[in-house]
Amino acid sequence: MLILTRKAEQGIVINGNVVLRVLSVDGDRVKIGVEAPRSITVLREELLTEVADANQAAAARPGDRPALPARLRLLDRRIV
Amino acid sequence: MQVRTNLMGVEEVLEISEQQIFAFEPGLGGFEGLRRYALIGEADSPIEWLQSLDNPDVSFALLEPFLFRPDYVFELPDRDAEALGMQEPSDALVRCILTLNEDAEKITANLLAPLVLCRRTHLARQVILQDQELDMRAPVFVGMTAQEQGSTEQVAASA
Repeated sequence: MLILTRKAEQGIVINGNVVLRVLSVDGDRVKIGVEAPRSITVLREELLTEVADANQAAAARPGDRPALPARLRLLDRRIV
Repeated sequence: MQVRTNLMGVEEVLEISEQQIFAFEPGLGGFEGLRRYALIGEADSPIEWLQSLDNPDVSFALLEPFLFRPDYVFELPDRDAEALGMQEPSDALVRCILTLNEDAEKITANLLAPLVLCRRTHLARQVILQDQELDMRAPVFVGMTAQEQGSTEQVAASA
């Protein structure tokens, strides 16, 4: 892990093509600008963690398939 | 080809076609090392199963969101469309991961992070939609009108 200290307006360049820039510091909040190629997804870390947790909770358990509630089978009979 | 699965409660081997196989790049959050999955349909049910080809113990119940949220709409970010090799909207299969429950009222779908599978390339990924107020645990059965509830219960009673 690389640890750096930055002041407002200073930047960090990752892999030659991702730039993090500290835009402003206000108390315990830091406004950060991210410039990255379009192909790179940029997300708040907690969002990734939430989705990973949700996926793990949703992963099917052995025996889930025969136990499907009957109402699920009826969904495609709704008129959409 | 064959896939091993524990979905029935015991390990079984299913025969699947290449057409059912999708490569997830990146892997699903929480399951990053697992990349290849088979999409397996269910007779008499709109549910599909996403079965890991790398780990028989990992599978997910999927449901097309438009079946229970007809107004579900999202913008697929360009970077994801390009990474998936999408050329037109009909290339996309959109599926939401369900959290199952014996009590049907408690079944929820992750609308915030749908799976998008590309028919053309057989690439797939989970897309996290940032800008929308979508529920990661959206109830599937809340919101049906009384009439719809009545008719599904009639069908259930006669089934």
